Amino acid sequence: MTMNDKTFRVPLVIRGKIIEDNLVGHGGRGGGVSFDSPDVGRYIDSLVMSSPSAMLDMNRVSFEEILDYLDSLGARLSPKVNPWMEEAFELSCRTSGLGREILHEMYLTMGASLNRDTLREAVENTIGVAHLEGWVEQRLDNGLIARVRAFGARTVHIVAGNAPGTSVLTVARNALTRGDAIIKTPSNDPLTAAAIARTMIDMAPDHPITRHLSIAYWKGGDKSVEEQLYRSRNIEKIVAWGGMASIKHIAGYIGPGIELVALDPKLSSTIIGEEAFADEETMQRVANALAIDGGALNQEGCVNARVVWVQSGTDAKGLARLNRLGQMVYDAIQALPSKISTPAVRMDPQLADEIEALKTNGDEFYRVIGGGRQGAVLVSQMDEPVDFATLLANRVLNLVPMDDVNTAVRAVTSYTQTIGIYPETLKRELRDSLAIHGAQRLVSLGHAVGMPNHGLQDAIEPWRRMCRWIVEEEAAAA
Amino acid sequence: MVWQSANDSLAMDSKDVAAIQLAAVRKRFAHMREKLPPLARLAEENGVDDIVELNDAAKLLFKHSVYKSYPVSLIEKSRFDRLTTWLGNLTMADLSKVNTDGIESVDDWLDALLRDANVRIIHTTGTSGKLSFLPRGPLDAAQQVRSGRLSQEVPGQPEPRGLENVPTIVVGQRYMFNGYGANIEAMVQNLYGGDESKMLTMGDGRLSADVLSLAGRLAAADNKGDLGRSQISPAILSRLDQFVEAQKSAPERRAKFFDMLFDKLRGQRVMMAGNWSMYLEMMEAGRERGVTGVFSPDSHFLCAGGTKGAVMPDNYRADIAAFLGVPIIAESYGMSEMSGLMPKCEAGKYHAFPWMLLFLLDPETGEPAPREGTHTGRFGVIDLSYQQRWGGVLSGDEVTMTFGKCACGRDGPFIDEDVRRYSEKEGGDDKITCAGAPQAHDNALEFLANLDS
Repeated sequence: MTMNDKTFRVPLVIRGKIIEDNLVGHGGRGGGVSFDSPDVGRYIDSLVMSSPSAMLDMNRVSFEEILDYLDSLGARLSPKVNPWMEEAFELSCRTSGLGREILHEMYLTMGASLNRDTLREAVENTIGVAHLEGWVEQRLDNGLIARVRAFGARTVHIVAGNAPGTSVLTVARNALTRGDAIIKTPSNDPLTAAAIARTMIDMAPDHPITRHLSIAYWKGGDKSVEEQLYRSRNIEKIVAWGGMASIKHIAGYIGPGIELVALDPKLSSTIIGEEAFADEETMQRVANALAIDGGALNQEGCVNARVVWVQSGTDAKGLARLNRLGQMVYDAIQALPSKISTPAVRMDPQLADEIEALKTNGDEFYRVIGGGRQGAVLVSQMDEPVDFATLLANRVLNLVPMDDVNTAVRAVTSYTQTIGIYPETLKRELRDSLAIHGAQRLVSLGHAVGMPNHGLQDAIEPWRRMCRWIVEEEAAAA
Repeated sequence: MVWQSANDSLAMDSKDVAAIQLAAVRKRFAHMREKLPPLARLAEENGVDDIVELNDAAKLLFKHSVYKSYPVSLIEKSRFDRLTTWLGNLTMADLSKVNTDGIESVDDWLDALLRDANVRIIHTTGTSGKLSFLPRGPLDAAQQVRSGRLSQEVPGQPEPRGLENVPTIVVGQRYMFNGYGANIEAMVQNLYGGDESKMLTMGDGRLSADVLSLAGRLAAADNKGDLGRSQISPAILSRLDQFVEAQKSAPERRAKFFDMLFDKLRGQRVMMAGNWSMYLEMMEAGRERGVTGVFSPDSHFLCAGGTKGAVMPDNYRADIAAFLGVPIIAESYGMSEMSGLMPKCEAGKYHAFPWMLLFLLDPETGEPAPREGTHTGRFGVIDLSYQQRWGGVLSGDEVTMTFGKCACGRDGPFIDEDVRRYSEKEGGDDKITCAGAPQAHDNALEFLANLDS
């Protein structure tokens, strides 16, 4: 295994078999990191599943056995005991936008997400265990008996690389739904999925769960791979986690027989009612909660707050208290522990330039608190977000004053994912209109980055949509 | 200094140039810092009080985004008075007489600035589609004309004569408020003595700043949902419709223009400035018509801006020159923020004129590279020819710059041919993240965003 500063090796894993031949080089993102991986175009024939009948072995594995398997896998994923995961962690430190401490914490706790009670709850809340274990009977009014069962699908998963947890979550979802997964890894996290697969091969090389997982890296949009792979005889679904370009590429292959489950790229925001200014203590609590929503995971996630609408008022008095809140938020972000948030690992140069330009320009339109790697709070001095709001990252929040909360509601779009809201009463008041405008998840302020177990995401149910829902009908006796 | 010949300027000893530059940058800074608040703020932020050596001034480069740091909503709300105030902080020219009453479009605002304050805007669009507004005060017009003129020369060859009788080909509109348009205007007035017939433009209309800015404005509006859409005026949207309608006949108009060029100007001495994609289009149009070696060999063709990431055919340089009928196409590098461009020498390097004080900055730390040897980093410049605008600007380009002697025999600094944008470098891989939002929704917007020519 090559393991110097510059070149890592990312294996191709095909259903329990590790391939490290026919290497081609890829430039990873940032820091000049590059890695080698096998030329996937040469292995298409074995990467696709020859026949659907090869899915039958998964069907013979019980739900409890799947939970047992995942539980054992979870216990082996700590980089402390697992050299594959340690290597994946090291590479992530070079490719990710997350700080080393944050990543370390994520890799240490990754296995815990495979806890059997957690997974059982998630499945029960979404698919229903009974639907995975057998044919669930329903009697219709006209006497017809319908029996419904959720089957796994042959699926390509294009996972996001901004947090390594998406790889382990995908492995778990594939196993529990009894699917056959080909995970296409991203250049900002090329190794985690392969490290999990290697651990599975070490643990249970011939187990059907191990044999229904493949991991490949190819450059998104590579026609020599995608034109062969994305055919309805080879796969039934594509699950795509974000990436504007990747979703555009894939869209060209979607047609009858291939379903796209798109977790589109999204951005999240915040709405804060005037109650936040009730007293000093409340303001501080709001600032602390907002710092977590914006600063946790270094603001790399789609769930992180970016534009923050605040009902401070837009007159001089309103702006003065908004500016003060901005300072409190900035200070609170700086005080976040390094396991949760760190100064920027890699600055977006375009964003950095925009912020510097605002500073140079003076504070007539926007006041800049902070800047550079530490992050910044940009306080709009009118009820408009900055023009570069879609770039916000690296712990940069934009506080926008408003007189009427309706201004914030009208700014919601179909790619608004999470909205953190304070206070709770305001959330109840606004939730229907926010949903209608496009918002997909409404949370209490300070809880945007939580990983809830209800199975809903981006206004869809990915768990359910990963399954093929099959019905058996029995006509009523004549 | 801009008044001496290009060859004389480029032949100056780098030590002499450095001494003149130090005196000039100190003078410009002392003169402008109290009058341009952004410069004062930048100096204060970076703790620059005095410029003792040239690299001290590297801390005084405006990010190129300074010239688009206004809120785009000012345009939507027709607050051209506030936009004028914002612009006033970036120019020494007096904008107090600019009357913005009743102005509802960017085009009208640009006209008002020219009419009431003799300030010409040079606008540019970046990937975001938001327009940058670079003000050129009346005192800077003459220098810019001269500097722009010099950029068209080929180093080592004598300054061309008799240009007042040589027509200029413009693959664009007659009226454009970008760098290209500013030069056209200057040539009509200063070179041709107002004789419009020498300026052969593809269109006799105007490249509208409102249309150019629409991509950015619509994208910004989309990012603000109902709120954003409600802010776009119906007048602007109808303008977009007219524009899209007019574009349908564009291929026909282009064909007619090329027919005229290849027919009427065959064998004549002409001038043209453009980019590779313009020349490539011309060559393809010519090949379709079976013409080659079109113009007189003593014609002057300048190409600026590199290939802009486009994939060019093999041997495109030689093929295009042969098609045009000239031995060489002059090439240059620069940005709209500069008064002129840096010409490419016989050894294939772009050389700075003495009034271009160049810097090479570390993209991470912003620290300037020592002024000796070869370094790769971010390109910065203070254009000392400007009297009414701070000439310091930091680009988004990665270049390799050498302080020292070039193979062509001239002193540096000079930069290598291979220039790329940092934004391309960052975005050119396969990062997948769940966070993001579409920048532009449909092809019409992408088309608009690419229209800056």
